[in-house]
Amino acid sequence: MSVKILLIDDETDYSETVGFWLMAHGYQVRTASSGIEGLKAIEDELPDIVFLDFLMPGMDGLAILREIRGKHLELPVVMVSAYASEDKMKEAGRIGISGIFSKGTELSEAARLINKTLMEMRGGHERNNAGYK
Amino acid sequence: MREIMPVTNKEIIYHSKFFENILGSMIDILVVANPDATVRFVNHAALNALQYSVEDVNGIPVGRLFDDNDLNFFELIKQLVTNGELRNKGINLISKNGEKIPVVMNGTLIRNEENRIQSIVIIARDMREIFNLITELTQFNEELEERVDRRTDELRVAKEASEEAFRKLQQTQAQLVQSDKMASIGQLAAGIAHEINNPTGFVSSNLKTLNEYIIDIRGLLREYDALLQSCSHISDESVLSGVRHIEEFKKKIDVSFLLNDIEQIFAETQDGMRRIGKIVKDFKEFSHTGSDKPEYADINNGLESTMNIVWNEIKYKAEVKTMYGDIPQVLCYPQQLNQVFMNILVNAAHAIDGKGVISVSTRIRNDNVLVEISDTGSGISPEHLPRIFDPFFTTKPVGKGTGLGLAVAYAIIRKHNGEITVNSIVGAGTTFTICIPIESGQLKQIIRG
Repeated sequence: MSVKILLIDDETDYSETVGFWLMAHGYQVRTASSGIEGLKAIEDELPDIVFLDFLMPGMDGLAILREIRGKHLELPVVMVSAYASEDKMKEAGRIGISGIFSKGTELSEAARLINKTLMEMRGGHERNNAGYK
Repeated sequence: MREIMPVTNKEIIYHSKFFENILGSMIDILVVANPDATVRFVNHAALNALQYSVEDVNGIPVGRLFDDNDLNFFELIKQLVTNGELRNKGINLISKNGEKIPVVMNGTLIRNEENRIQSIVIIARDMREIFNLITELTQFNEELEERVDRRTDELRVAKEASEEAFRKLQQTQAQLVQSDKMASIGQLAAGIAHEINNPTGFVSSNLKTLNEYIIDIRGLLREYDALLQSCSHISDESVLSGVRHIEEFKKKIDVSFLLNDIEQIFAETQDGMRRIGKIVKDFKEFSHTGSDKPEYADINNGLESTMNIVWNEIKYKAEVKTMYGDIPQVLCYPQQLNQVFMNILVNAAHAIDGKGVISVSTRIRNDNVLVEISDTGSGISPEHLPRIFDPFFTTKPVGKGTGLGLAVAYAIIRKHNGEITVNSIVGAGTTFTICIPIESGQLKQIIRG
């Protein structure tokens, strides 16, 4: 079984691109376009990593993060954001995240950061990570 | 059932064979990916290029076929997702054994009715052959450029050499023309000097003798005067009338003035003869016929005699200030250096409008003698300055200057292993500085034979 990644993001183009890119590298990807959908997906099947957008209509990233932490203390969550304020980032850090990167940077740079985050996490998943070269 | 079935098994096989043949015959690489980014189909060309077998490749993440370090891949996905297609993008594929294969790729993203990704179709053209050709072409081009550069360099060197040769030829010609002219003038001057020298000699000597005679005759006159004084006491009428007659004659010719004037006339005439003698000497020194070997000469003397020769050109134009330093004799062709000084002095005089100053100085510096000739003339414009030593370059009206003077000066100074430099400020004046080695090794060798 390969690493399971959950992308929670209301921007479909973005999650489709990142999702396809991750899949093309052998990750199992599931996408959710809202917080509710994302939380449901976590309950359905626990992912290895969650990429979570800060700003979404309805339930925002911080609220989802709190919800996730309520049940899954250990689940790695990487916050993704285009415009998050410093306060929000600090707050997210307090609640507990594995990483953070800005969507505002070049997408290729975001890809590099995702890659880096995954590489850092790979230690614990390596044996399972058949899909990744 | 059979009647309403639109397609028979045979037909299905026929059609699938038909498409298989088409895809199999494609030269371009074809890769079809599933929505989960796994490989669904690759054609024969793709297997060939990537060196995978069908079993190897089906179902693997499509990213494995691309250069993972190439973040272009991410951009391509982004374009595919947002635009649904991409055209003519360059990227590297990776073969099974890790070889990078540069391709130009086109892609289309097909979505289903729910706008979900259904499949991705990638067609890529292996660019290795073309890139090799381009590399070869680039190399060839570089070689060609190098060759052109080399040829250009060779041509430039050849051009410089021929320009240098031409310049030398012009200089030689100028020098020939000038030295021919100078030789004729020199001969003429020497002839005149010789012709004048003889009469000058005997006129001077006669004047001296004449002066002695006159001194004697003045003595005699004094004796006669004394005699006249004593005769005035004699009461003989015939003696007295004789005395009166003489007194009247003395009055008539104003003897006292005459005697004074004779002295002055002698002084003036002797000065004139001295000057004629000096001119003759200068002519001789200037022309100096016969000697074409270097010799030790006093530059200050040379400057002085040259100045006398061109004095007529200078005297109404400039006041000449000289500062001759204490310099040793210089091994040189004196007459040629005189020619240089003459050319520069005449130019200096010509450069002065109205009245100005020409300063001539000599001094010693290291093993050289420096001669500086400055004028307060109109100066040389910056665009003319680099050309003034060029043969036949002149700013004087046609017929006035040959454009040879400074070219010859330059050549002569070079012959002495010296240097001639010029400094000029328009409206303020010009300074020529000549630097001549006291003993040039080259000239020393000529003397030794």
